[in-house]
Formats: sequence, structure tokens, C-alpha cells
Amino acid sequence: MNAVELEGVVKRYGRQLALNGVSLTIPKGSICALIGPNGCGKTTTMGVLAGLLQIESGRVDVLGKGPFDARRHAGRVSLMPQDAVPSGHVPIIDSLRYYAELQGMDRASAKREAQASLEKVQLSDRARSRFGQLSHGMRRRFSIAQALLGKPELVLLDEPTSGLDPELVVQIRELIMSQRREATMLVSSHILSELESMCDHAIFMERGKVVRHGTMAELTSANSIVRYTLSTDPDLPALELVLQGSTLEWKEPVLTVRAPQSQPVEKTNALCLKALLDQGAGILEVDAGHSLEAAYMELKRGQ
Amino acid sequence: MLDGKKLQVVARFELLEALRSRLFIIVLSIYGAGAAIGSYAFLKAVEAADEAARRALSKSMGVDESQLPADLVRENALPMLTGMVRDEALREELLKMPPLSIFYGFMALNLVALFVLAISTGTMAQDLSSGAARFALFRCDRLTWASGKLVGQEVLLAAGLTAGALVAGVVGALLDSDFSSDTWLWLLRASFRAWLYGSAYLGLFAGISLVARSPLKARALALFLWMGMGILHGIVTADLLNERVPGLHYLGLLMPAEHREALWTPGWQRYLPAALALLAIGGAGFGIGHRIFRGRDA
Repeated sequence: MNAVELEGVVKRYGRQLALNGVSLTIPKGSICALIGPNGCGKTTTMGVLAGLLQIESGRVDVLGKGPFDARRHAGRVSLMPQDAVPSGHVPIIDSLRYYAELQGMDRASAKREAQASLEKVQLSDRARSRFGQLSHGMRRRFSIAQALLGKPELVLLDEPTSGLDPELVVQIRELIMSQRREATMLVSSHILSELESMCDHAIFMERGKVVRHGTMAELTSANSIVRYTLSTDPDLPALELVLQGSTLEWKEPVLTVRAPQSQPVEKTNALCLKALLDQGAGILEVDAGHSLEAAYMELKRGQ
Repeated sequence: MLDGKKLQVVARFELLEALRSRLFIIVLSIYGAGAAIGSYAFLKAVEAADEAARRALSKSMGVDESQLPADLVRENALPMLTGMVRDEALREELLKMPPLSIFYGFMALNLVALFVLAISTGTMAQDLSSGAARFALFRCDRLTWASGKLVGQEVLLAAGLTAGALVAGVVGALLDSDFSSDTWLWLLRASFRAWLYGSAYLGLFAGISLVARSPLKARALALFLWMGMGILHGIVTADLLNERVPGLHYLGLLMPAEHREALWTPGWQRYLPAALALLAIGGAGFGIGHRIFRGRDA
């Protein structure tokens, strides 16, 4: 079951083509990364899904109920817009209560929910501050808090950690990951390592098109490749004898082993690890697949 | 489809926001100060005119000033002035009104469009340009959001005009020897009259605000519309032109100014169609703006 399905979606801003026939699916319950350079259509895709932007053509299905319609989707879909500024006249807790009530909560629940979501992003002590009085990082946290109000089934987070300090990045990442079973999440960011650690699916976009998408394991070849970071050179001929059918590549200090299709990667890994230990090779790190960054760069080079 | 509950939520938040905004407080203070100073000046002018008339009369008649009535001007000049009003029912109604409520009603009717222009015109455009609307528009439909904002502004306008009437009333209670409890009612009626008239502009300007995308642009367009409608109304209702183009004055019905006079009349015959026409003008302006907004990016 998919939470999101887009098929041939075209969106223009005047003459500029922002989405050029985007087709993608996001499985329900997944945390999906949306990756691509600036202006590739990430924010536009989220705007389309949240019903803020009108499309020229194509099919949009959100949570199996057709394109976004507030009557069907209010409270079930939420968005953390990138550069939006909420009301600057009222304390942020009042803004959150307002959003919660708009999602259909009664006043008492809205008040509780607003407080709880501020606690989630560690802004309880600034509940009476106005948005304009918050630092950049606090503003991002407020935006995340409003996106997590209630129990949305689809959460769209547009660069949630941009401009946050490292400690907060970790906290926000944990917060996002904690929602894994609660909601489907679409997260855009330029920090690929961060996306790799929290997402199980990824979509690469380029000039308004989806150029590749799949599970994180597929994209990083985690089901077929193991990388070993070594402190010493391995005895490659000896390894080739043990790992027959596998492809080996040594680029100091990383040994990349691609398992044969007939063999599970875990088996290849077990054999390789034993051989390396027998050789007395210094194993510093073992990784499944390429990094997301490498997968992305490989895709860029291939274009 | 409008969602009544969410509309109420949006309207309430709109009010909360406005009451905390510096712009509203400043404009309301200026309006309140204007009502106070205007009422004070008006009452003092009437008092001075009464005094001057009494002095002149006592001199020419050779009687002591104390033997002459204190409200010579109010008793005699007002009927003379209202004599210029062609509508007899309206003339009688004006004579029933305390002069202070006529003054405040006149002032409110003349200032209400500017009041709306200053306070309300930029709000939706501001929310759309800053992105604040993006936090709300995936939580409720666009019609409910825009209508809620409009209702909030309607309440705000009513509150502002009532506050002005109360200020004028307080000045009257302190200075006017003829002030009675009835004057409060007349002042509130004057506020309601101005609110109806202002609602037409509020709807028109809200329509602009939904389309303009920048508060400054919205205010500039609204100002042009207000001035343009005033000029156009003057043209289409000019006798000289209507002699040449029969029926041209009917165009005037599309403009708020055409319905202003009828708001002063007693009874429902003229008042009700005028009130409905003003609400319809506002509704049409808002409706056109929303129709464009509905099909646009937010």
C-alpha cells in the first residue's frame, strides 16, 4: 500500500517547468528521502502533495484518497514548509493551538497537543515567545513541532535540520525516526549522510524529474556490496580464491566486495571477514553497500 | 464547502492576532482620538454658535441673555439645515437624532473606508506573502480560511467603530447638556450604519488582498479602487450625463456610495435594500477574489 502516488505530474511557474512529468510512489509507513540539487523540484513536490500548488497535468494520490483535499486530508497530512513565517503577533503556543484546532481538535486537546509538541522539540520554555523572537534553530524547531501536531499519517518535512546545531540535528533525527511506525514521512535535505541514517527509501530528483528511486538498500547496493576499511593491504589473490564469483576492488583503504547474485551478501561477508582475519588484516570498519552520497555522485557522473 | 467550526477558529485567531498587532492599536488609537477630538470640537462649535446667537438676539431684541433658550442653534439651525434634504422621512429622522450622533455617523461613514484600508486590506496578502497561510491551508480549505479571516475583520471593524462611538459618547456625556441615554443608542446605530457601509469595502478589499500577494500592493490597489469608485460614482450619477445617456445612473448601484444616504432613512423600505446591496457588493468583491485565489498557488 502506498501513502503517495504521483504519475506524470507537470507543474510550471510561468514559463519555467518545475516538475516535468514526475512519477513516484512512497510506501506507507516508510521514511523517504527526497534528494536533489537546489531547484530540482523537491519543495514543489511537497507543495503539490499538501495541496498548496496547482498542477498542470498528471495524477496525484495522497493516502489513497485522490489529490489533496482539505475535507479529506486535513489533520492527516502535514507539512513543514521551508521558509514560511507564521504570525508574529501571538505567542508560538497560541499559533500551535490554532493549527491544532484547525486540524479538528477541540480546545482542550489542542492546548494539550500544542504543549506536547513544544516539549518534543524542546521549546516549552519559549512557549510565550513570538516567532520573531526565536533564533533560526528555534524557528526550525517550531516548524517541526507544528508538522507533528496530532497524528498525521503523512508528514512532509522540507529541510528540517538546515541551520541547526549538531546536537539538535541528532535530536530532530531521533524525533523523526521515532515516528517511523506512526506516519509516512517524506524528508528533503542536502545532508545525505543524515538522510541515509534515518530513511528507508529515497528519491533522486534532477531538473524536475525523478531520476532514480527505491529502497535505501537498493540505492546503496546494501544487498550486494560490503565495504571494508582496512589499515593494511589485503592479500587479494588469496581473497579471490575464497570469494569465488565475487568482484573485488581495492582502493586504499577501502576494499569493496560485490557478492555474486547466487549468494546472499551475508554469506559473502562472513567468508570475507574470516579470510581477512586469517590474513591478519586490520579491519577498521565494515559497511553494507555504498554510502548514499556515493550512490548520488555515481548517478550524477552517469548523467 | 464552508466548515463552520473551522471558520470560527480562523476568525477567532484573526481577532487575536489583530488585537495584538501594533498597526491595529495605532489605527484604533488615531480613530478614537479623532472621534474624541472631533466630538469635542463639534460640541464646542455648537455651544459657541448657541452663545453667539443668544448674544446677538439679546442685543437686537433688548432682552437679557438668560431669558433666551440655551439651544437656539440646535433648535433652529438644524431644522433649517435638514430642510435641504429632499427626502421628507429622512429629514424627520435627522431631526430626531441628537446632533452628536449625526456628527459621529457622518464622520464614521466618511472614515470607514480608510479604516478598512489601513487595518484589514493587507492581512490576507500578508499571510500569503510571508507563508503564514501555508501553515493553515493544509489544515482547512481555502474558502473556510479566507471567510474566517473576513469574518474576523468584520468583527474587528464593528469593534473599532463601536469603540469610536463610545469615545464620542463619553465626550458628549461630559460636555453636552442635552446628552441623554438615547444618545448612546443613536451613536450605536451610527456605528452599525458605518459597519454596513464599511462591509462593502471590506469585502472588496479582501478580494484584492487574496489576489495581490503583497500587502503593499493590496493597499495600493484598494486605494485606487476606492478613489476610482468615488470618481466613477460621481460621473455616472451626474445629471448632465444622465440626460444624454438615460439609465447611466443605474451603474451607480454597483458602488457603495450610492447606498450611503439610504442608510440614514427610517423604516425598512430604503434601508434594507441599501444594506443588502452593500453586503452584496462586499460579497461579490470577496467572491471574485476568492475565485482567482482558489485556482492559484499558495
